[in-house]
Amino acid sequence: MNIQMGGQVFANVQIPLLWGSRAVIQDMQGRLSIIDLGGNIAKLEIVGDKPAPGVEFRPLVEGFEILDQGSPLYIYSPSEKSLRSKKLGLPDCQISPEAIRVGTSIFSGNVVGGSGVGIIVTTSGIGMGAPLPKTLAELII
Amino acid sequence: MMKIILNSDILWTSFLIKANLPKGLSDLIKECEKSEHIIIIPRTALLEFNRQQLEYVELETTKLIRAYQLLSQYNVPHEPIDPSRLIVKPDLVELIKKLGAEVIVESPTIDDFEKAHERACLHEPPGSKKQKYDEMRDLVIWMIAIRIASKDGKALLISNDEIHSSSFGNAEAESVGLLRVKSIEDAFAYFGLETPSGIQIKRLIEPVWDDLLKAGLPLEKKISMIGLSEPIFVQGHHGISKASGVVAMKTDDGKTLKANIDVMVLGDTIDYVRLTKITIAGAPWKSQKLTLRPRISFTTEKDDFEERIRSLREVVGGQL
Repeated sequence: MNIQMGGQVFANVQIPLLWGSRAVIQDMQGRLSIIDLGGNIAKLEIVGDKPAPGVEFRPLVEGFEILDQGSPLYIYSPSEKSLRSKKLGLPDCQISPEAIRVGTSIFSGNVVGGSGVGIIVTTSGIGMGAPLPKTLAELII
Repeated sequence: MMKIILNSDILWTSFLIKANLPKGLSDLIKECEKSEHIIIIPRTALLEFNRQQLEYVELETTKLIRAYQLLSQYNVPHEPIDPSRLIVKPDLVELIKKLGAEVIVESPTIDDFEKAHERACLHEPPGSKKQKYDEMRDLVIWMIAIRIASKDGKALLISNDEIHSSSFGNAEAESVGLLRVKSIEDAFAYFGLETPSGIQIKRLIEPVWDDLLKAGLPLEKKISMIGLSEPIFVQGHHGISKASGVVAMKTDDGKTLKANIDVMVLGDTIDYVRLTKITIAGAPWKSQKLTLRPRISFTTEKDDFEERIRSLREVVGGQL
């Protein structure tokens, strides 16, 4: 896909931002969608800033918490466009118009082309222009 | 009056705080001011808050300097202002005071440090051998909370930290009157304030309120605030499709009715409402069970799911 998101240009990438096993995609209206690719098939968790059908969640003052069988996975704030891990062990992530912030690292004005993943965030580090991890489900929605 | 101890995770934000605290925290502090509760910020939590906000100061400063550089690069006239004059670390204590609440920064004592140190090394409660690591900062905050509750007879610790909220700390917390909640929303529920989950469940229960009364539940005639703890909502294609949790409602004589609740929604119709483990003021109510099949339609918020999924597919589609 070709997408401008968080002040970056992602050209011909399969996933612009991979947060653990979750693809983070911004639509033309600036809303975020989160798709979990950690299972056999892609599972929509957030569609355009709101919980996806079939997903467990808990409304919060700042947004909502995505749950898995009642256990909190992460918090999403639509106003701040931020993701905060509860059980995933990942650094928090924020997509603003001019930059993508991952923990205390900030990505701004980059062009990433022709790679599986634009920015990859794992429990052990952050990378740019990475191949798509083989264990992930295909991003089909 | 009670002391309300805030852990660092409750003070966490994803942005640099400027003139005001985030809404949830701000509402909590206003409630504390109204009820004359005193906010306690363990110095450990304050240092963590300051560290995080300083990181945001650095990030914002970098962004501003880059913006100046870009303007200069294109010869756009501008008057650079020293970033340190514009981007400053917030003063947490002053922001809380601005909302009218009393706030104390509580430093750990040598005794707090020694006890925390001992417990970390010996894997003693509230930690345990099962935990991969013992975080001294969390144990120091725990010792501060225990000390304050012990002195005052009770205190409330708001923390989602694993060590603070685990069952390993139950006995000690109960022995000194330390109450624990995991989030600002849970604190709202504790104070009897409306929570985002409570508002959602109220929307689902309101259309069947008369049916609950007809079924014999001694509830107040007109629905007021509803508390909901341990909430789980499931999103459907047109709004919420399922909701569950532990609900607290007012009875007609001012007592509290508590029950486990399950609500199933099909489209714009409330299919069933099931209450189990019903108690009034702690005592079991009749068989403790009630199931309604109202199949009553209610006004749902217009959901734009189709438009949102179409927008997502526009970005993703055709690329795979």
